[in-house]
Amino acid sequence: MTVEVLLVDDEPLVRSGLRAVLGSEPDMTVVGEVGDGADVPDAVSRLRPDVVLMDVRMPLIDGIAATRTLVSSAEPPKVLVVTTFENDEYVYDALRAGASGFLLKRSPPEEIVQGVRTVVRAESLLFPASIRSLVRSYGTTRQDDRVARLTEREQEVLRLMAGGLSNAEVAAALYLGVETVKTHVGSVLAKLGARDRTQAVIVAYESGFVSPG
Amino acid sequence: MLGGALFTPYAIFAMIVVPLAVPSLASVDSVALFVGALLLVAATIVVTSRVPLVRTIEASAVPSLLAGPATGLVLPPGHATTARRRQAAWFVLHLFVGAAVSLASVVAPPLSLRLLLTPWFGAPSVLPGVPAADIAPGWAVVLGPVLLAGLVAVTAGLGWVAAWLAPRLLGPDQADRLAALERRTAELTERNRLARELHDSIGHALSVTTLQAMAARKVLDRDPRFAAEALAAIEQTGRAAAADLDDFLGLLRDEASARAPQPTLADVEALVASHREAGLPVDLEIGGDVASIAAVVSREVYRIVQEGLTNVQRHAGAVPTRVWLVATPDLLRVEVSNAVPGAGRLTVADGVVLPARRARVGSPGRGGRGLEGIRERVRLLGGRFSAGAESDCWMLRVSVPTGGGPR
Repeated sequence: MTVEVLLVDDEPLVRSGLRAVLGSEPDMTVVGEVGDGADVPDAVSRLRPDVVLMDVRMPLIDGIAATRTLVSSAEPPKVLVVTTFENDEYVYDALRAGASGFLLKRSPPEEIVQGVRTVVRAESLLFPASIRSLVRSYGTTRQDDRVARLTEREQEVLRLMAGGLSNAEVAAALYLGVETVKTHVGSVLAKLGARDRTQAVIVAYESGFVSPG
Repeated sequence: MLGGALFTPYAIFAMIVVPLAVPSLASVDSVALFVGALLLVAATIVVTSRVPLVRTIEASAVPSLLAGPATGLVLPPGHATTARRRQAAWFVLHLFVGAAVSLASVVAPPLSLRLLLTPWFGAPSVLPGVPAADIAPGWAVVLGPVLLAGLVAVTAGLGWVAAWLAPRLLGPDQADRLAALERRTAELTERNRLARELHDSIGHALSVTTLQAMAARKVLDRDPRFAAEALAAIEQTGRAAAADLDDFLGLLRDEASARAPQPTLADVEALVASHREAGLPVDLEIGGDVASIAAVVSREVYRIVQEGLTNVQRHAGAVPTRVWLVATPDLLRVEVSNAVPGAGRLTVADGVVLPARRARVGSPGRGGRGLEGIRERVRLLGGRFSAGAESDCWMLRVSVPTGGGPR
């Protein structure tokens, strides 16, 4: 199965660079590119990509607003924020708006490609340490009783997810089958109202269930 | 003591002037004469305290004379009337108290010694207003040391009072402090803004460079044409970022060395030479008597040329460029023009020129900051400014009055 990618960045040089990097992978195709968040909904409904690589700062509609719009649509693609700076408040805002993870523009090509694969497979969290430091810098603590609705096992799974463990690693840590872990992850996401691991982990941090410190 | 020493010339002045002004000294009550002389001295001191040199002497003397509490004494240039009054008050007080202390320290030691010797030589007759016979020998023996101790105590006390008073009378007042604080805050805010802009601009350039290099490496064999384009993009981005960096450091340096000699049009050849060294083919043409232009105009126009050339390097790269400077008796005209590599790269709107590629809303004005600086300088000089594409070149035109204009 080929992963179809849409590139969103107002800098043509970033788009052409990413296109060359992703396009040379056998399992990836860049199906299109746009220069502003305003053009995203149209391009997505036309091209139906699996992943959108989204710049944060753009002239008309920025990556945060575009992500929010996209996530609320039917069958949204995964959104990966592409950023120049790691410790950027906007990146955190984009994650809270529903992005599944982020990539640094300076990452080596293998990491960029791997990042896209990780997000599509949704089996582990992208850059757990960076997400933790983002929560530490910009996260706000809020009362949230959704975590309390999780069973003890599900809470254990969530804790390990926040640590960046993949389904297979969680399974090994808890002496469970991978399929069982997948079931747990599914019910954690459902109970937290999260669309993916990243969103679930943000809830875990912000509710104080897991400490980002 | 310095106060006493400084007091002396004033006292001598009064001693000369008073007899001249009051012809028959004998007819005037001696107390009234004394008070009048003191008032004259005070008035003279107040008048002279306005002399800047006197203020400077006080300002430099006070911190060294007063130990401890006087530290942090920052003397404002005495611009405000209240500040001047406070300084005059301090000067008068300093001189009078100094004179009194000086007088006392000259009189008291021998007097106390003489008092100690009362049992053998009889009471001294020098105590003003106290007849010699009224002092019992026993009391006189006690009074001697007490007088001396009193002098030491009073002098020390006055020193302490002076130390307490000095910062209040000589130091910056509330308004001065507030203004200094505001200046400092504005400076820091500006520095922060610059730092953020620098971070954005260089960060952006570096990630573009990295991505393009990455892409070029990936497709080198398969698509050498793309690789070549990527290399060209890397080159240009790197050059623009270096120019940006230069600019930012220039701004920071401007702030730091505002008092250092600024380059003028006399240095414009060196400026052009440095751009040539950096790979920009620049032609320089100077006409008229540029050397006799007002210094302020010369400095600002140098900056304008500098920003113009930096803009060329940043936006157009190493393209043929021409700097043209002509001075007439009342007008200085400047043109910086360069060939435009590839059409449609520049958009002209409202006089502000933003290269299309770099016009990012996320960082407003980034592409046009150099031009904004030029516009602001020209406005201050009361001149005219235009920038834009003209046929196949890009032209920056500035004309300013050579006299300096409204400022």
